[in-house]
Amino acid sequence: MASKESRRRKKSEPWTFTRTGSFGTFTSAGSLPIEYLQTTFAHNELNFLTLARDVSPEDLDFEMLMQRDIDEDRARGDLKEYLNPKGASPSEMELYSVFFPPLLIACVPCRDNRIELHYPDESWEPDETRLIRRWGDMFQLEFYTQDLVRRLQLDSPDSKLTADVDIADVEAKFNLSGNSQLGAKLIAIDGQHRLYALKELADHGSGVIEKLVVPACVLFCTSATLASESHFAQGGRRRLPNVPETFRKVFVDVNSKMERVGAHTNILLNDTSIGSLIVREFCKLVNEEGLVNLSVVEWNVRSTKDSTILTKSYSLASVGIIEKALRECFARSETLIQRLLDIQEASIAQDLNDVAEDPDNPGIAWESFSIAQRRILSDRARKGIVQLLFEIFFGLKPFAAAFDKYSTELEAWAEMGDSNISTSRDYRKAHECLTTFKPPMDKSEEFNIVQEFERRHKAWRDEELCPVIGLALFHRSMILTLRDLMDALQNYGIQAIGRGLKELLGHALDDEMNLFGKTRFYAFKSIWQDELGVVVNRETTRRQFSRLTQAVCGNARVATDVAKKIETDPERVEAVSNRLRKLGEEKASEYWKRFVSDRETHFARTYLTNLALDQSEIDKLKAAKAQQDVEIEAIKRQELDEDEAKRPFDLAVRQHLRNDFVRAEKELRQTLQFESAIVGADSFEDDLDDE
Amino acid sequence: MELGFSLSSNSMLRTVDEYALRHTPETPGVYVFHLSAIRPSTVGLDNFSSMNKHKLAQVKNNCLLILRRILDLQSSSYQGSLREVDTYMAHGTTLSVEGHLSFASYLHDTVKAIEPSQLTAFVQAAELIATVLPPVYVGITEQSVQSRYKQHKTNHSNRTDGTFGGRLAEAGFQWSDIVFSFAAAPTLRLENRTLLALETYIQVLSRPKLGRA
Repeated sequence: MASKESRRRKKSEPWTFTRTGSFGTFTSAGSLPIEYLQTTFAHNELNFLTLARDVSPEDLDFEMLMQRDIDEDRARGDLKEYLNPKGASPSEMELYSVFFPPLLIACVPCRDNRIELHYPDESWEPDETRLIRRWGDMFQLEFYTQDLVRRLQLDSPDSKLTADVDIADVEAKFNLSGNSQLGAKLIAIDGQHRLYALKELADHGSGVIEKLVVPACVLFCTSATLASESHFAQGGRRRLPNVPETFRKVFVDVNSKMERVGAHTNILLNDTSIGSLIVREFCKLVNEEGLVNLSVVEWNVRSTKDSTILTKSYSLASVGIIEKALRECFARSETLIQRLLDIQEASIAQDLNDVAEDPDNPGIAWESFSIAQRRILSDRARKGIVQLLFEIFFGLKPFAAAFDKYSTELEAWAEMGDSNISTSRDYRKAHECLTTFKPPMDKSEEFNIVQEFERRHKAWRDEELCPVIGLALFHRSMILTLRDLMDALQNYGIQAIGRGLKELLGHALDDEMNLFGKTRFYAFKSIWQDELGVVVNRETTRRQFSRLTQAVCGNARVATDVAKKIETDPERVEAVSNRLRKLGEEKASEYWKRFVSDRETHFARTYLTNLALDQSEIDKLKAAKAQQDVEIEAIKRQELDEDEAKRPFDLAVRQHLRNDFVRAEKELRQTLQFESAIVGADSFEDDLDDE
Repeated sequence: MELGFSLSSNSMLRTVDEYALRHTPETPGVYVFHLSAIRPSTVGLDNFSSMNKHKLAQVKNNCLLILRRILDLQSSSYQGSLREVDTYMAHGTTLSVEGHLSFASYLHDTVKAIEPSQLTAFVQAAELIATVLPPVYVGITEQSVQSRYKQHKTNHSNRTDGTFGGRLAEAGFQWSDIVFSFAAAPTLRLENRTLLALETYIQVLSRPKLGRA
């Protein structure tokens, strides 16, 4: 009977690929074990391995898009060149050695090319000489239990059985069928570029890697089964990480602790940071709207330097900028984190406490929360801050106009791609490059189309749109403004404050108001370097942007508009409006003080080469500077009291800028439609009168 | 009314939120913390959208959850002994007593019975009356109420044992669940020693639940 059953099973075995190697388990201090098989792949077996980008080529969700991101140029250029240097003679090659470290391959459950969260439950099938550990029809590991060369004791998942097995010679069998049934995919999570280069050479390399055997380590996340999870939870709500979560952590660990991958990828794959959680949910939401939408969000920039700026003229947002802005504004305050994530509601707070890793310290910190808490946080973030970010970057007037222009162009490309014109292929490719996040090949036709579009789009934006919407410093200032509004109105949640922020930004970015105009006198040297719109690239500019935005609230009408969006009870609107007005006046004053300081500093630094000054004026300033230096030395030696110093140079600078300040103050007050003078500017005028 | 959107009790005692406190000149004085745990944002009433039956049920559930925490705070344990009087010492007996004061479910049941249509009004009223209830902490400072406030907040964040902030966190309350009021020492015209007497006076009469252990 047993042999009959065995024969029947053998006939219907689903395995399509077998690999032998050494088995091991990686765990320390009670950590979740990762099991692995160290093995090799010949050049003609590389097709059994999958690049993360090749999973789910249709209907991509953001998780997969992220995984599939690969720098083909680097793989094609550097790594292929390393393996097969151009122009190297056979005699030179004889003296040349190459080696790649092992690829890390994750054994991932897939159905219809979509990644599943769990392996099938593990079963044990021991017989006299072998132990088969089987995970449904996805894969199995076969161990010898006799004549052991290297012994390891294994425990069955329910801990009822143990077995001594030989780990030196283990056979793994996989069902790589990839159809609608659950099967396995062997996905490279480290070494994607190496694998890409090897596959290219295997397919088109005229046999240069024929003798090469690729070292690889296949990882199994055998604890990610529903049975293990239920055993672990024991009726509670704690949960084990699932397959994508486990491998994502391995991916981040490997890449952050060793060779660096893309800066954005590291942000997006980090499961233990609030900022990462928010930007990932943001990208998911944008992607749900369509790939065209996602293509105006920079989420796959590799260079750390470029990860916090916008690198393309048509981009609307960047995950690096948003993450940085959120971190600098919220990471240090537990109360603000709670409000940002909208988790103040009693039942939510209770849920988070119930699933905290440390019951004695259940609080949520910027980089400290449990996996189970993460799920609740993602859900809350999605409804609050993520939705707000989406509405800002795709809903606010100038951003929406920029996106409309971009998507109209892409639609035109798609139409031309489908037409019979001679360049249809080029437009199809150009469209594909932007919407599949693959940069066009240098000097190709599609490259030219994209380049030309970027140039035109930039010119259009410069001409038509508010100049700040493409500036990282302004993007970060919007988050700072959100923080300041939350700080000033502590009784309101993220959704209410978010509505107010959108209203406020709508006023601040209004074309007619032209608050951030490049020729604004009050912005010279504090926001703009010159009238061409070169931004003052300093951290203080972020604050100046935010102060100017909030200053708009100093106008009673705007304050009431914003207050009405925040507070729904008409009886309370006035109190909110008053607070906002006070905030606006305060920010206008702060803006002004910084502007005066920026102008004076700039003047003091450049007066020697200032073409607007004649030589006698420069000489007087030089003399005043020398006098002031003498005073400063005397103060240092404690021979002069600071209050008694006359500071002739500072006074002279202010005197030279007097007319500019009067003009700037008047322009700022008129732009903001303030009824009275800006606080700080009035005292400045008094000073002048005294003189 | 201070722009903290809560009641300001009188001209001497100012109820302020953090923003207003930061914009107030630093001053020594006496200060109190009140608990305002039932308020729109903690019960899920701060969203713009209209409330349906399901949402109102959630709001009530949140109210009851918070109420349980507040009642836990009110409960106290007693331990001691009673000695028989008017007996010869060696023959007298001692009665050891241990007790736990817990609130009856009456309040819980009353809140549970609130009509859904009245829930919003109840929450808003509960928020407004927070400062007329006994405070949960009373303190004085000879430095500035601003720096003391900051210290209490840090203690809450760090869950520091033996502090008001630590006890508040331990009892399951968020920092935003408290309302801060203070009276500046110069306004009260009190010297430091008298300030201490005032603190004691308030403490004895209001028995702040999260006062010094």
